Amino acid sequence: MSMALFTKRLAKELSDLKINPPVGIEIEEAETFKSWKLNLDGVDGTLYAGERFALEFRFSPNYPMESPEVVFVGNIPIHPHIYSNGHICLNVLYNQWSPVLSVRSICLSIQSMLSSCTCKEPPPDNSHYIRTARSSPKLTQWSFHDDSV
Amino acid sequence: MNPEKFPLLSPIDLEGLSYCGFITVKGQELFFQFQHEDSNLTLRNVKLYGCPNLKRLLHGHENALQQRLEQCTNFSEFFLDLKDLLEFIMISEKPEPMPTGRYYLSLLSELNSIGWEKLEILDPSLRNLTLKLSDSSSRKHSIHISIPTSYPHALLNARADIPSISMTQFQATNLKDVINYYSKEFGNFQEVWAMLDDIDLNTWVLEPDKPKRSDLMRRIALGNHCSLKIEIDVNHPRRECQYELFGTESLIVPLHIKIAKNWNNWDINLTVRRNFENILEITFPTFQTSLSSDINFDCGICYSYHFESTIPDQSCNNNKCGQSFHRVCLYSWLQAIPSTKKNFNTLIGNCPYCNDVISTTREQ
Repeated sequence: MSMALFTKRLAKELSDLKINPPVGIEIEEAETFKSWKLNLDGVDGTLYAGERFALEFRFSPNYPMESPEVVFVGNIPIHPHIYSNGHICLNVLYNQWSPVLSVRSICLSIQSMLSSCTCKEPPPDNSHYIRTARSSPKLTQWSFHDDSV
Repeated sequence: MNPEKFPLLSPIDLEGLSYCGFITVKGQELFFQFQHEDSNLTLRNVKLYGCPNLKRLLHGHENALQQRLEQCTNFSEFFLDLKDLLEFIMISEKPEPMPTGRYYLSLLSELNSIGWEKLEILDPSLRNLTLKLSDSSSRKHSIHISIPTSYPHALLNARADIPSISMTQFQATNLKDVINYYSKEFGNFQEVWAMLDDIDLNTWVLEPDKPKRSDLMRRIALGNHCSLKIEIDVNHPRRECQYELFGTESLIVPLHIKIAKNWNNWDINLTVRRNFENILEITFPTFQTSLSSDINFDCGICYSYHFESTIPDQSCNNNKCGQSFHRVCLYSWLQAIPSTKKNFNTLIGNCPYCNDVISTTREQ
């Protein structure tokens, strides 16, 4: 049952992203319903203007009941909530996920997280985190305390 | 290729990519040609051409053939498998008796008498045909007829799409009788179809997806995730009919009050749609008007309307939200949330859109 649900919904999201793409977000690769790659452009007038990043979404068959795994790949932005292994500290990706959210809204959340950044610096515990973190960010016990950036 | 095993087969090009010849199965010699599409000699990408008889035998066995092609490593192996397959098909084949000359003669004279313009489809075996008939309001109807091989000694089987289970099928001795019978039947349903056509034309019908002439039920969009389901009474199409309202409680309750107040004003001179519009004191939105005001009936979780033959019938009771969901989708979402409370088989949690309390029960 969930199999049909998840492919049907992703197919809908994909066609919506293709027909009506949000500004600065572009599908790089979406061949399967297992993982997608999207390009995210830094918004003009912010610290990340002119930079291009790639996000990887990995979906489980329980999507959208379960959040997708979202990480930066390749060129990883320097940001207080983004670890240098690509993991993103953002509550909607973990405990605040809801099926209302979509690939589009996650991209927009990340874009706005980048845009509101005032100082390009890595998270304070970056070196410790990347040594201990497991491959999936969903296995990390996140604590969300900073709402300012 | 082993020439002793297959004496009737020879290569037709220098590379040995194509062969043609005869395969002998149960004394029958069948011509065929076999062609590799690429030079790496795997059997994944080959083309098989055959004489009409071979084609007929293999018809309906394409999957078995494909499977054998994928399993065999070389041509000799496949050739033996093909022979086995053909032998199996020949044994299991039960030749159907051919209709007699009288069959065709009577069919021809019947079609002449009813008029060829009524014939819509005649399948190549001349065993099934479809007649088209217009009723008094020029609605088009199709009558499907299958003719037994022993015709005219056996009866014709006819079937048409009409809203009555006992009347849909009919047996007759000739096509004229079929036409007379269904013309009369179609006449009986004129009033019913007039009511349904009025609904289909002037409202946004959510269900059934593509209404058939035999469907008496319509689920009509009211807007704001609410809908009205009505079922026309086949014997009294203009009379008060059964209905059911779906949607957010806060929007449905006022409609129920209006129905209680106005139900006695039902006017059998008006169509069912007009009566419901008067009773509910609304005009039904049509598909065109709704497209502009984007009324969304899709499930808020799976983003689709039809899901495993169910439609979103659970909705959030916060009338600012009113988002609708499939029961299955909402249940599995609430089940995944640790804060959801469970009471027997009812789950009480929060609407994924507005966070208001929402509850649902497992499918019965």
